[in-house]
Amino acid sequence: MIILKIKDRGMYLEIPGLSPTRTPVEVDISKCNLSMISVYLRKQGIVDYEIYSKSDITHEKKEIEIQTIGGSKVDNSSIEKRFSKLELMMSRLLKKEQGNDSGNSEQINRKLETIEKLALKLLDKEPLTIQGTNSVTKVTEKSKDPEIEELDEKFIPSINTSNMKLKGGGTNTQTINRDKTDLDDSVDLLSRLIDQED
Amino acid sequence: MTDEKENVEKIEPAIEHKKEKSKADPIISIGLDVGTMHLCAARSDRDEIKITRNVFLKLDSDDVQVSELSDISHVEGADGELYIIGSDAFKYANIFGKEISRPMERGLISPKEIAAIDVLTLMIKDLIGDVKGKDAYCTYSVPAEAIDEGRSVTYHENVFARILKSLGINYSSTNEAMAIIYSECAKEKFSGIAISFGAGMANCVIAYKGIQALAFSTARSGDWIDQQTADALGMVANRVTSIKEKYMRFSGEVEIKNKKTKRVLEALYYYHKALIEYTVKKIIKEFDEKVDIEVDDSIPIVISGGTSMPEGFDDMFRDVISGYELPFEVSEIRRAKNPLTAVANGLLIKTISDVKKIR
Repeated sequence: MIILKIKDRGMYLEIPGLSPTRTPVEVDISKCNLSMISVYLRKQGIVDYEIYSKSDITHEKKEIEIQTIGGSKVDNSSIEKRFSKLELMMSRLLKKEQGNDSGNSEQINRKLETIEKLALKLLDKEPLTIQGTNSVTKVTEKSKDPEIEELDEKFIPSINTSNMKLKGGGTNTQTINRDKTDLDDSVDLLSRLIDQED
Repeated sequence: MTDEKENVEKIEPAIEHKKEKSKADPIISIGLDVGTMHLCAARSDRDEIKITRNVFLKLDSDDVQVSELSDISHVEGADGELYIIGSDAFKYANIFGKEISRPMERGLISPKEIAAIDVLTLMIKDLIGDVKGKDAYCTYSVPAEAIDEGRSVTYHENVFARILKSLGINYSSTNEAMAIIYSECAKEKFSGIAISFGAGMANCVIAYKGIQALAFSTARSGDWIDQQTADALGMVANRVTSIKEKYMRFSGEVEIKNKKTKRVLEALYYYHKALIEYTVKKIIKEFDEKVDIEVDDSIPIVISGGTSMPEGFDDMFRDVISGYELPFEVSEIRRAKNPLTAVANGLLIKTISDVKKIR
């Protein structure tokens, strides 16, 4: 269960999906979109609030999905089993360490270090997608956004005339004869001037 | 997109690539004048210059049957939409009582018609003609930054570059008024002042031996005249444009019996004069403030553009400018040989010269 708690008094809230209410208030927002609520509160100028989860394991259980680089999915249930096994191992190790079994202490520390390294390696592996029940998705994949120049090209709408057909007669244009001799003389003169500039 | 289209680039940076390609493909140089009211194209392999109206009309499929448009230049879209393009759009606009769409406004690509770039692309394709299998180079016109309003030409310039690129044509841009210098001032070794009175803008350049010393534009020109006249007489601007193109002249006899038409012509006369006064004042101010070079020789003033078409416009210009003390010596004031095609012709001269240099 996810709870929104506002201590300040005298404010009137009309959160979409919930009944209108006055503060102070503690209200269940499990069925609401969290980002929408935070946007609503910001818009209302409410900054002093808490959103927390009441521990209820059955509701809080998270699905974790790990994808390999190639995108092939690893079976969720096997991941969960391995995760639970790892949790169990760690809790045993911790219990042993707390029990001050000095003979094993060094060995336990080494095992813990190995687990830490493995966990770090796992985090560095890309892409890693973790999905929670509230649909918050964290993707640690490197950005595939195009470079700035590519973005420019994407932004400019392309000229697409392939679906359009030009038809009809030639009554549309007027034609006027041009003086070819004048043109050649002007071209020669301008070419010479351009050469001189260079 | 084809390989050909991917290989096109601005004319200057593509020198090396094009040197290799020249062995196989015949070269075509093109000058494309992108005006608010007209699109005009000159090609090195043709003896004529083609002009069309830079307008189109969108029709619903209920308005007209496709078979009825067999003689009319039009574009059929994938979803059945129909666009009549160019001069014919005017006629059909009257028939259906619809407003024509203008891809450009006051010299630049219109913010209202951004979605029409695809139609504009086809209009340019139609005007330029086939360039398939040829190595095509085009210089297109751009206005100078306006001194009396804050709109930038950057977007406009880049949109037309993209249009030409999409057609597989190598491109470069040149100032519109500078193109008039290339077309009309060869005997003065490309020195002079050129003013292009277009529909959307008046573009002005001061050039000395082929070098552009100063270029600027004002957002007042033909459309401004039409709008002011329409506002003064409580009319629609399109109607004023029509009367102007049909009857307006500043010299010679005009036989008109209709009183309302006479009033329109009277108002047009006043606003033409006001436009020239405004432009001359701006030229003097800009020259005084920004031109550093000493112009010892007297230089010509060349007037061009659709707004300068009425007979006697150049006389009116001479009359107005004679009332001002100019910061330069004027050898003569003359009109371009053809005010509608001078820019395209000058752009063609520039393209051929550039291509000569790079090959």
